Amino acid sequence: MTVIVSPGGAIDPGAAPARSTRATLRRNFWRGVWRVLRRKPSRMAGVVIVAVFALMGVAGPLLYPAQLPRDDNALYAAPSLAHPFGTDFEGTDVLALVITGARYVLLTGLATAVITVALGTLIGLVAGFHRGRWDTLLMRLTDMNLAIPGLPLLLVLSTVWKFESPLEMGLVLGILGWGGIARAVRSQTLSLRERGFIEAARGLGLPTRHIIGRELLPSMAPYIAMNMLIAVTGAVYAQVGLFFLGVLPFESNNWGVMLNLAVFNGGALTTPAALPYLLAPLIAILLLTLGIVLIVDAMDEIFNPRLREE
Amino acid sequence: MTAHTAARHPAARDIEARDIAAPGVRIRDLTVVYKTPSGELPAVRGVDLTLAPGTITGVVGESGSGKSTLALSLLNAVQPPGRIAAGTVEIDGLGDVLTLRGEDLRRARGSQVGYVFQAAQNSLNPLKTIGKQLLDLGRSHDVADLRALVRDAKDLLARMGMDGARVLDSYQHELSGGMRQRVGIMLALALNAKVVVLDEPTTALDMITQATILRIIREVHEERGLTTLVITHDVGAVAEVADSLAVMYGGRVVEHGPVTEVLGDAHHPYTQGLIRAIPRLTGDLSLARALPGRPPTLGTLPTQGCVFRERCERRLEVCETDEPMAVNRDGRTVACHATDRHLTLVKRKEFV
Repeated sequence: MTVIVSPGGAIDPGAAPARSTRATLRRNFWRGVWRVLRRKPSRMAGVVIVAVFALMGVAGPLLYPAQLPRDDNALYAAPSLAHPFGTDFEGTDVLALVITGARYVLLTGLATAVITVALGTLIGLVAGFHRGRWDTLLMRLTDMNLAIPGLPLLLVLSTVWKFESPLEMGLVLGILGWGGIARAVRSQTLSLRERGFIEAARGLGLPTRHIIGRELLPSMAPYIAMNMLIAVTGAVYAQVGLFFLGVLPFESNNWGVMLNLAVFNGGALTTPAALPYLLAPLIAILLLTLGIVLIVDAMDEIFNPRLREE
Repeated sequence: MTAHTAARHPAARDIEARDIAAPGVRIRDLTVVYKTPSGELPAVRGVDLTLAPGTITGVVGESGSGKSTLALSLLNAVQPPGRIAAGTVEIDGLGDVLTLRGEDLRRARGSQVGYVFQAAQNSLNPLKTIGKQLLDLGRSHDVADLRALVRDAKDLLARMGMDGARVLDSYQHELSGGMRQRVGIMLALALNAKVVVLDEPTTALDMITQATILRIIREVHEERGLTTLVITHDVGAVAEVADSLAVMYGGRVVEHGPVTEVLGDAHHPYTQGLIRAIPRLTGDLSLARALPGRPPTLGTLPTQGCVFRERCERRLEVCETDEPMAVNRDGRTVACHATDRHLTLVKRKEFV
């Protein structure tokens, strides 16, 4: 039998299923993420650090009784096996304080990041894509947001608002902080909307919602994800700072409260006894920042298919 | 194999059956202005152009002559600060595109009028595979049978000499410039658009790829019964594919006629100049003479009289004051005082 192999033979329908299965595997997003993370050990370290903190936030307070045990015989005890970071002025284990305090800090950070990024991205996208009147209006709003002095406002707010819930704190920090991201996203949008593929999408009759959500947004995803992670660290600094300054009541366990007590009550800057009490929350903040920065390093490669491939 | 071939054939016949009537396109008195600090300046002014059903029309002209703006008007896609100030663009089966708004306009794009963009090799989303983009296109036009769409796309790609499955599974960076250009053509045709606009389809491609693309345009055009508009500044490319040729200068169509006649016996001094400027393959390179002067920009365009007069060697006094009318003579449209000097005034009419 003569088999005529036409040029169309390459797209023999029988061969298609096998091909596309392999293709789906190759395109699997999470496999790409895994490969990118594995490429540098530092990224894995970042993921591990952030995962440990996340675990602390979720499970930390469950590991200890609601009222942490005190040991009156061991005030400001030096680091030991039982108390790796020593104890505080009441004889409470510092490590336990750091672990139980993580939830408030991380929840605030997360809430702030989500609000900042959601508001900033939305406003930046709309302003940049539609330009004209909307742009002017939204950017003046952004200017106003940027002009609000955050710390003084928080100081004033704290006199009337106790910020008992981390979400309240996150809401306020988020509403104060979206300006920068909105501006940055707008400028990215302005540049991207002139690119060929956006013009082509418009010419092929794709709806505007699709163009903004599915064509523009993914191109900015690494940038936005990066900003989101950095917003977490920003929020951590801001709230820890507020608690450290003592402008917020010490009703909840918090790293900032620890810092405040260590410095102003324990005299950690003058006597070495309270030093571990001061260092523990500092190291926690430092590690969290480090973990996030290490992950940010992988963002661009995760979202760019060109870099994601082997 | 035999079974597959047999199975594919009826589908191929279906495509042919669908494609009997190519639509005609009639552009009438089209004016597109751009808002600038010195007021609204016309990039396209009073253009009449008819694309006969089932033909390929080439539009040539220097940069800034309004070619791309004209092409975008066919989609009613002129972006601010541009604005279509006047005129109509009628497409058979669609009506006046310029009156379409919102959802109707969006649906017309892609499904009725396919557009291959200038530098189509850059008009693919770098973050998505071609197949994903094809599906996006299908979904936003409510294509019921996405499998059929993919199958059609694969056939089209195979038609253009590529392995459809592989291409659909690729990101744009995994394809060469010529392949991307063909993918752009595929996306413009995937929804079975009958009017296809190609904006500089061969720019920035090497000679071999250019020739391939031109051949593909010609073949697909005939196979699918399209009405095609090819925008280019490459007279050689246009001579290869087009049936009729429109020459634009300063936002006007100065000459329009069958491609062999326009190139073989140009009437308008600008067309003559363009042809003289083409370097020959054989003979002395210095025989190619550049047009004197520089192409007008929106700002330097004369507001009255002939737009070409400053670079024209056959300038007359009347050129300073009166804009030449497009007159139809021997089946061609020419807008020039010098060429119709000896004729009695002919009724304004354009080549069809």
